[in-house]
Amino acid sequence: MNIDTSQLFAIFGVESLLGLLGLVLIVTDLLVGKGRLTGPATAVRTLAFGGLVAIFAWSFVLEPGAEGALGTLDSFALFFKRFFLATAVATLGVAAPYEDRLSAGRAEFPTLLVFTTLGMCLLSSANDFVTLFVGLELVTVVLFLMAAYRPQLPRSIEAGIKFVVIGALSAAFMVYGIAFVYGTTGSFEFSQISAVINAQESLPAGLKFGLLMVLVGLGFKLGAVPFHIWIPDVYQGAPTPTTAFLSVGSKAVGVVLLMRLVYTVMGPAAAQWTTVLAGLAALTLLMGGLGAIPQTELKRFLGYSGISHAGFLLVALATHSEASAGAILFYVVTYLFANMAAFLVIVIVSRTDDDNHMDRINGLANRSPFLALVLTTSMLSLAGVPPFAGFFAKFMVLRAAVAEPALVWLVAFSLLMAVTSLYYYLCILKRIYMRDAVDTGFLEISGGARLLLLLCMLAVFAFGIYQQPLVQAAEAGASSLFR
Amino acid sequence: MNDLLAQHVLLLLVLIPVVVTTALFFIPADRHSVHRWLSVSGAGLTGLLAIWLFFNYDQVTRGFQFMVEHEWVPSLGIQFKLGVDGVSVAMVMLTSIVYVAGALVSMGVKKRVKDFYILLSALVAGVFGVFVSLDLFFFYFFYELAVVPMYLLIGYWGSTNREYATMKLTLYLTAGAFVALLGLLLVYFSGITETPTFDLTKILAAVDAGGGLDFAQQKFLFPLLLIGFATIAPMWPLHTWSPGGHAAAPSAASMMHAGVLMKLGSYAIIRIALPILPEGAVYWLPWVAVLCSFNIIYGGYVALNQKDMKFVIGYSSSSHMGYVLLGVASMTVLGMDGAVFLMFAHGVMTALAFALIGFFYDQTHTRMLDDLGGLLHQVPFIGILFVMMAMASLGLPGFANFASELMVIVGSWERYPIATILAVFGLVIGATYLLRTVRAAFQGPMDPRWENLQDAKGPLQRAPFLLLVGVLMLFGIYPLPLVELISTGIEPVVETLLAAEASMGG
Repeated sequence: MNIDTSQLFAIFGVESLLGLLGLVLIVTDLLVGKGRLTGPATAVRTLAFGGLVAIFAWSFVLEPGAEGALGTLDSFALFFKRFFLATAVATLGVAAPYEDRLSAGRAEFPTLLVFTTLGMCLLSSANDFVTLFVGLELVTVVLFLMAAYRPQLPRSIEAGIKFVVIGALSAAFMVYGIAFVYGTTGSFEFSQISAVINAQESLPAGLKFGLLMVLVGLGFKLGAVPFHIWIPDVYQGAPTPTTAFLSVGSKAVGVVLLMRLVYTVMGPAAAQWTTVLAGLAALTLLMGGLGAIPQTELKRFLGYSGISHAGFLLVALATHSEASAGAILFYVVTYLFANMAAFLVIVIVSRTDDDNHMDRINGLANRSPFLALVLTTSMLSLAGVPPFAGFFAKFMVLRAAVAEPALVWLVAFSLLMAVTSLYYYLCILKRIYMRDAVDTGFLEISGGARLLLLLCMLAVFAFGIYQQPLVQAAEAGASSLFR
Repeated sequence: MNDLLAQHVLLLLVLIPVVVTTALFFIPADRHSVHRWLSVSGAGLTGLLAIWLFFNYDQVTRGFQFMVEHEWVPSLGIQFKLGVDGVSVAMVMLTSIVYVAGALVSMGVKKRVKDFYILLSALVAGVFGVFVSLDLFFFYFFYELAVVPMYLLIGYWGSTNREYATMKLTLYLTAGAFVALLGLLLVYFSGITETPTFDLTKILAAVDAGGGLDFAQQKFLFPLLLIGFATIAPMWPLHTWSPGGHAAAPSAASMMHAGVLMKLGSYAIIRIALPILPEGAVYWLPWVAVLCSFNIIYGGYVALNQKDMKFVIGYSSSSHMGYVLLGVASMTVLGMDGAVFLMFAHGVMTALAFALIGFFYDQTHTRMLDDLGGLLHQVPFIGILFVMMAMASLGLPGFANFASELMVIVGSWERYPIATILAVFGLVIGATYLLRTVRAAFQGPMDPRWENLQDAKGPLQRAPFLLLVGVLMLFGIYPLPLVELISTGIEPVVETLLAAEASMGG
């Protein structure tokens, strides 16, 4: 295998810069105010923020097209690199007001975040099972650390351990599956595997099994039923910024890889999988639609809500058309904005301690109309109510699915589950507006947090009303999967 | 000036409430009078635009007029397209009348005035949007936009059992909307138009050119649209969200809801379901006639046994909507004209009823017929208007309701004689429960408990009531202009239906 450095940089430019940024952050931490808590933390956080924003801005200069042995920089990869960078920036915003709860490791948090983002960007370019696995491990191992970040809280440790066990399990499935795929096709490269798959009338059992195992491994990442069990506990136990990052970033990792796998690697052969994916989608929707109802803890609640969104993403994956791929890209972006805003609100309202009981948002409309408005917007967007972006995301998914007559039942079922999920999102609104506050303390919102909340809210509004720019970007991103 | 207005009138109609909503966000929460007057002036402006539309809609050329069109998401076949025909103009007039009256009545709202008006104007933006949209995507978009603000309006400012009622209402209507959405998406992909589009005018043109769906498909798709839209209409047995929701809602919200939102359902049936799927309609409409007889009789009987005045009016509304649906099912110009005219008349009448009840409820904090009595002594103005409202509702000549109900009954006689007889009987039930309500609440000896009740005083307090009753009498005495206007929109629909029936018979 010939590796050309300049070509490698053309593909992995973002990753190289992220790696560099991570190293700079480590060195900064060492050099600035050794032994003190806040000095290096501020420096590292500022630097990480600046670096991530700069790389994010730079990614818009990049032109898609470079392709090599280990990865590809098609418009799909580029779309997701931007997505992951934006997620990382938003996570830093969620982490800032959380920071003073950390008794140690304040400076390391942004550093870890940069490295896991690196892994995610790498994954979005993967066109080879080796790159895929390396990237996935980089992401997961760093996320273990970030989940168990507060050793003094038993819940955090619990979350870390559960996450490690489940992560190892899913990695085991993946490796097992990859081995079978390699054994039957003789290659790690997606393009060659795809050629083998589509040259045959029916797939050999070994290959089928291998692909299924890979699918299972990715199901864990996405949070699809029956691989969702870790989600509520880990979401609840992990520090809130980590949860925010997990809920968007880690889910998107599952999305990226599943899309590559289903749309590019399997190609037309994926049509045989429609039933499997549709069944998974229905189960996931059912779990997400009903599981969230009895929850009383905000992060668990958002965990189940995330499962229901995974269900909608699976509906789109089962559809297997270019329109549905575009719908997925649109969907994850709207999900990013709504979810990040919700988690930041949770950080702010549970500022005094780490109790995230739903009581915390009771009477929020009286305590802080601004936070109430943001949370309302993000809940309604997640529920899929116009004029918010989440509505159009669901609309795109369902519109694409209806085109396939075999999936009309699934669309009807998703709509039914959308009604049940509307119920629990409205219950949140009930707490915000119709309950008396349990807490009465002053809610301090820093300028940065206010800006981030405002941005998320405006994005949810703007993409809900004028969808065209994001639709265009999503369609461009999705189109490269089908070449 | 007129040309400029003609190009932008529909856009303005949707944008005025949106601008009011947005502007309210930036006005400090304690400036109540600013919030109130901003909303009232916004409502007044939409009223002026509606009057302008009424006088400038060209009844000779007919069809959709004052079109606005912008590309929106071309790859999905979505465009922002507005236009009105005779039916929509009537509905726009209704909406703006109720909006003005609702904004005026809400002057009495004391808690969170700002939020109240924000939600109210967002809701109105949705309603106007539905009535002027000619794109199925935006139709649905605005429809949902009109439903969801109601959740908070009832949940926070409401009364009796409000949290239950508002959750039920929101979920019910959303579920109904989803059924309709599924139907709309299936129509979208059904291949009526060459490339899938949500553009209603293109779909209708394709159907007119003979490109309609075959009967089997229509038979399957029509019930989806019918059930979806009839949920909000509300057609028996899908009506159960409505009385509780009306009863729990604050005055302006009940006015908007019973007065305007319920009309979205029958409007959508006339605008979308009938012309796109005429054969399916011909097949299923007799069933609608059966179900709406239940509306009329069952709703009437339930109203007869209510103790809460808002529940009386709530059930009476679902009873009256039975007449609307009967008129729609009649497939005659007279009957359908009557249905749309009744949507208008009932909207104004029921808004008046909820405004009046809300007015004294704010002081008595009870609407139970057993607790009330003799209110005419303390609140003669409100009382007299309530009697007038009751007379209008039970179909006394001189009010718009009489004319419209008569049209429905005459129009549907030929096709559904049994349902029509039941409908006439329903009028008797209506008279009974309304007179019973008037007697229990307003007549009888003076009750010392209500000694300090304040009547509506001054032009500002009286204005909304006088506006509504004035409209009812105006179109009751001289209905012709409005009926002619409605007829321009109805005639093409009836032609399509009759052609479909003829082709099915042959």
